[in-house]
Amino acid sequence: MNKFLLVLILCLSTPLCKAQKYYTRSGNTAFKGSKDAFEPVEATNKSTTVIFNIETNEVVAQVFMAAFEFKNALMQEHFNENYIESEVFPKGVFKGKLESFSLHKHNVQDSFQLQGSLTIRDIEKPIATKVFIKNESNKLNVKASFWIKPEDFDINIPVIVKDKIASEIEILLNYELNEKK
Amino acid sequence: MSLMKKSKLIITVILFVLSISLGWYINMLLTAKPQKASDIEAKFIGSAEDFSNLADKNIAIWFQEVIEIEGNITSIEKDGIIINSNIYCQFENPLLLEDLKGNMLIKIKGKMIGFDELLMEIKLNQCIIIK
Repeated sequence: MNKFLLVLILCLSTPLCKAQKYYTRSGNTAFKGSKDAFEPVEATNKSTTVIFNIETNEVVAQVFMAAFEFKNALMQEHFNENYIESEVFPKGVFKGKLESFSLHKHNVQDSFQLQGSLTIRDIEKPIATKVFIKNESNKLNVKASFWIKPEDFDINIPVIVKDKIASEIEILLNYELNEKK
Repeated sequence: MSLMKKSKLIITVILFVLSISLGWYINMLLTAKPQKASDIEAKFIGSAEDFSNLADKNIAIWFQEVIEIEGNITSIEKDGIIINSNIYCQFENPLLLEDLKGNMLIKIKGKMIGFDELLMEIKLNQCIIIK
């Protein structure tokens, strides 16, 4: 038992035993939800935290709702107060796994299947999409997109603006992940 | 011009000016850009340590609020700095980071966007340097 504890302590204090992770604090998450010929309903968030464990291929991303920036102040206010209710539900969380990714096998750009779940307003929905990863100068450039429906997350769009907002919203991800030391 | 005609003309001019002003005001409301943290009065001004203690008690009341804090730079990242090891301040202009060094005492203003449970830190964005 003592030997086991000693090995465990040595292991935890050695970098070799630490799970290798890549991360960002300032990932770019955007969404587009306009219908043609109307004022664009879109916003960008440059404060997404993403952690990618390259040993287990698990990905966790945390999107801070208050960090979505619109071009229009009124739209931003409605998004935070009426649709997302960001004071009550301040974060969106994605948890998932990249299939068959290996840092050492993929030195150039490649695409992988990502499976996971997205939780917004305490409602969890499955997500599956293709992710493009470029391994460049010890950084992983990650790009992906997928579609969600507002009603899946209990987001009620008032009738007066319903014809301005698309029934499916495109979520665009663009993250530059650095090795976590 | 009779008094009646004169009154009608004045009322028409007033209504015209009012409708133009109302149209301009509505347009301004609909097209206004969101305010940045630098333009908003801070709800908290004080040390980073005091803010951390307040946020520990009730973090939800600080969501989306602008705060001004003073503390030590414990790490310099690509887009921001970490103050007192537990507050990440993301800058809109990374050029502001060029003159900063570790352990430097700094005063910044930024918008509180939440608590990062993955990295266990309070997160601010739109930060600017005050001192």
